[in-house]
Amino acid sequence: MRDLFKVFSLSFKDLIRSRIILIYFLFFSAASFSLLFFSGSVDKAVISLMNIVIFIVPLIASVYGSVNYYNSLEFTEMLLAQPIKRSSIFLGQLFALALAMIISFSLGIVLGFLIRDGFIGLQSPYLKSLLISGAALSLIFSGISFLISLKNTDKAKGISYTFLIWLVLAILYDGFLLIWFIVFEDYPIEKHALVLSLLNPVDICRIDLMLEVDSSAMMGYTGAVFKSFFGNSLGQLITSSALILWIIIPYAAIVRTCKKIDF
Amino acid sequence: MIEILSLHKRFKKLEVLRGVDLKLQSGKIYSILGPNGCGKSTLIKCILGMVIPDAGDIRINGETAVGRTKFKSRVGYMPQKAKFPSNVSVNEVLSMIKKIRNSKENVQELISLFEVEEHLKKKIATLSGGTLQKVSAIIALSYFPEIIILDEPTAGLDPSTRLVFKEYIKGLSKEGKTILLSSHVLSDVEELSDEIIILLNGMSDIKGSAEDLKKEMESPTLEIALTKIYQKAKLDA
Repeated sequence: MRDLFKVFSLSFKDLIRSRIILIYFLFFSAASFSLLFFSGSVDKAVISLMNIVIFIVPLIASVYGSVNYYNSLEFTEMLLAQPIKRSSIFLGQLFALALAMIISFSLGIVLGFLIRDGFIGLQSPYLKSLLISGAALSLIFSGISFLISLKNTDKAKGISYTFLIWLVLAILYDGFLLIWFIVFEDYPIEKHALVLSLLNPVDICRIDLMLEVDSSAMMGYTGAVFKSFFGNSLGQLITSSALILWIIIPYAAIVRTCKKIDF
Repeated sequence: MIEILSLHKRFKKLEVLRGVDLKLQSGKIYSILGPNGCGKSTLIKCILGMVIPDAGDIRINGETAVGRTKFKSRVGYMPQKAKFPSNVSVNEVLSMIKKIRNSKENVQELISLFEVEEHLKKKIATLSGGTLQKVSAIIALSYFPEIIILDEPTAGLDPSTRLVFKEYIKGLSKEGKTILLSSHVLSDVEELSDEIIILLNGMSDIKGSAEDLKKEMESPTLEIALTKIYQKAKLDA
């Protein structure tokens, strides 16, 4: 654990000072500020922000996670020659990346709420949900991108696969679900819909946020099923548990994979 | 001392190491030579634990090193290309390595030797390739390593630093360190090596000093001697 922290510490210092992380912060502060300031209602602004968060956070976490992995490979090789466990090296780098992204994203979003409502804005339950979803998506997608990169020595392949995963989970998955629901609309497929939505972290975050905002119009099929099955509180408990599992699985896979790989 | 026992490594269909057996004694500088793709890097990476061998063993001072981490505190490694995180300072990198090594050793002597003092507070991104190579040398030579593995160490170093570096390496060898060098700069190989290891078709052979090798191949230069060896191996294969 100590060794992990040593790697984390240097990687975090590097990433938090990087231009990409600064641009990421500026992007979210501009989005948060403009939507909250110029939107008629906070609900509408939060829904728009949510859409940005569930698309942009996974995309940047995936692509930047992968690019960062390949760019650090020579330094990683140098670390591999040091008396330190492989899992400490990769988890240290990964946690540093995820934390730098979470801090940058969170500060950007918070800034908008702070400018609009002052410190009272920080007590908004919407803000809390946005931050939790953004943090979870950062952790999940940076983990997935690291895992894919670890398994692919070819940089172009690794980045492409990572992008493909994002494309499927953030965009195509909902389309497939919709087609499936339309095809089988005469059958009782609600329970299947619940399970299928738990298989996609982007969907889980969207449902979680919709349950928080309680926006029926934006909830979508799976969101509505969640609400009718579990109500808001139990629904959120289930989505949160699913998100935790989604975080743990790629990280555990990284620990397993990194022990077997040649560098 | 490093003992390599019947080391095998295959990457998919390509068998890179086919039972490499070597015994590297303390107090000697070994140069590992061979044509491109002969497995020099794979062998070095196996010793460092970056590549996991399919079969065989590597022993450092009698203890098996395969799958272990602890032995690396006795090993210094200078990679071919020095690369560090761009937004941190040299000081921050050196400090992290010091913490990983759990060492209290002051690396000031090496910092002065390689004239890196003025760069300590600078961001890595602002440094030249040569300066990064010097930082890499400091990391490899610090914290009292018993075994030093150098992959193209002089590439990118200016002539005066190259001279300093080579003298320092010779000094470490006299102190009893085991040094393994991989280099395409044959003048460095000739100057530094006590023994030359030739890696061909996945097998290794210790050929003695550069002079012995030249005599054996009846060649005026090391370059010609090596070319003859490589050509003979090609024909045999």
